[in-house]
Amino acid sequence: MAHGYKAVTWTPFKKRFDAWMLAGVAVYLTGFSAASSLATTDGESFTPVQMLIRATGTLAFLMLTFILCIGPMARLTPRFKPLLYNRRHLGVTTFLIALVHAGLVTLWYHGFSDINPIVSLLVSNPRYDSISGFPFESLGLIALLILFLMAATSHDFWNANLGPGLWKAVHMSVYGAYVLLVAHVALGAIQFEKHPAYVVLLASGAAIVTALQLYSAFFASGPDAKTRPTDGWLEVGSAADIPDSRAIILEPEGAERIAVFRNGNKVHAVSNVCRHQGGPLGEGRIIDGCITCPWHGFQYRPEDGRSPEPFTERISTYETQIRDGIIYVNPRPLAPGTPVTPSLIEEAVR
Amino acid sequence: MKRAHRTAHRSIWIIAAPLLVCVLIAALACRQETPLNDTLPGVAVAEAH
Ligand code: FES
Repeated sequence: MAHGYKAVTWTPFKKRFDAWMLAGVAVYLTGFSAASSLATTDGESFTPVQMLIRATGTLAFLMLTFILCIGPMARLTPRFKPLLYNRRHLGVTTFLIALVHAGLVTLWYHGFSDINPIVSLLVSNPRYDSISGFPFESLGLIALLILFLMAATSHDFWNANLGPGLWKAVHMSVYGAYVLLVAHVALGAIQFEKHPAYVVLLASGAAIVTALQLYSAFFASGPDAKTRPTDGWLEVGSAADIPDSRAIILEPEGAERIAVFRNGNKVHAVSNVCRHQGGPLGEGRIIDGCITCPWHGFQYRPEDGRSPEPFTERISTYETQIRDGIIYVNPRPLAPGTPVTPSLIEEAVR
Repeated sequence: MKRAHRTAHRSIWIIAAPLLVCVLIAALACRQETPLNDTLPGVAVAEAH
């Protein structure tokens, strides 16, 4: 959070996660080489460098596929939520593995060219009008540049300086990188690798990501409550419908979503948009008296939308009222950090 | 996510989903027994190394 850019601290969980991730990378690279050697048919022989090119290429694809599944999966099951905290490390590692893949390909296949290897990579095959002979390397290179941009700006320093809106927009280019990566593999490896595992890997990975992202875009991110204005106030629903420490999310017509939290017998309404990277606060819960973002754990006091000291983030708050056991919210946001007296749920309703 | 980002996410996947399907179908349909791409690992490259 905004206090010396130490937003997401290096917790023991993060350290364990990183250790497991690096161990997984090592196991994959070794296992891939061993499995490929066993699966190699007569007449085929690969040098260790060619093996490493394949291993790093498939690993980068699998890792990016996994990364794009984390967000939607965290909506389906809370078990995936801890992975949201660590997506950044996975992303940077994916970029580094893709960089090794690209570096090896460039040096191995173009290092002996008379011209600069990167120029050779881009100009040696001009068949842009062919599908099976398409210069797929250029697609991979653009995807790699996007991953670089994301890895380079992944630190909270950039989030703070670009602003969460622009930062998020930049990082949404990962979807473009994924499409380019699938095209890179489909027009590259799939055209010359004979083993069916490559086709299965690519098609199933792309299908899973597409299905989950479409689910997330059209079904999982809808608000919990349809809003019907009554006297200019939005009807949230019965106070008894909100589990303790949790929220209902409203979507007022043409405005940002509102998270209506219940904290014991108190009802608070705040903006649903986290100040860090726009995480959905209404999908988080109240921990130690603070609304806690499900993405990276930024916290806000429900009564005034301010992060606890020494942090300085503020989100908008909203007025609430309860009439006949029904909660209403005034859809006009108050200035971020404005204290609001909570509405009290009567004993009978609880 | 902000409204604008949710809308952008939806729009991206409305385009990306069919695009991915088309790329995969085209790539599989045009797969050849003998690869055409000059930059593939070949004897010349192996010899050079
Ligand atoms: S803590 Fe990162 S988006 Fe909320």
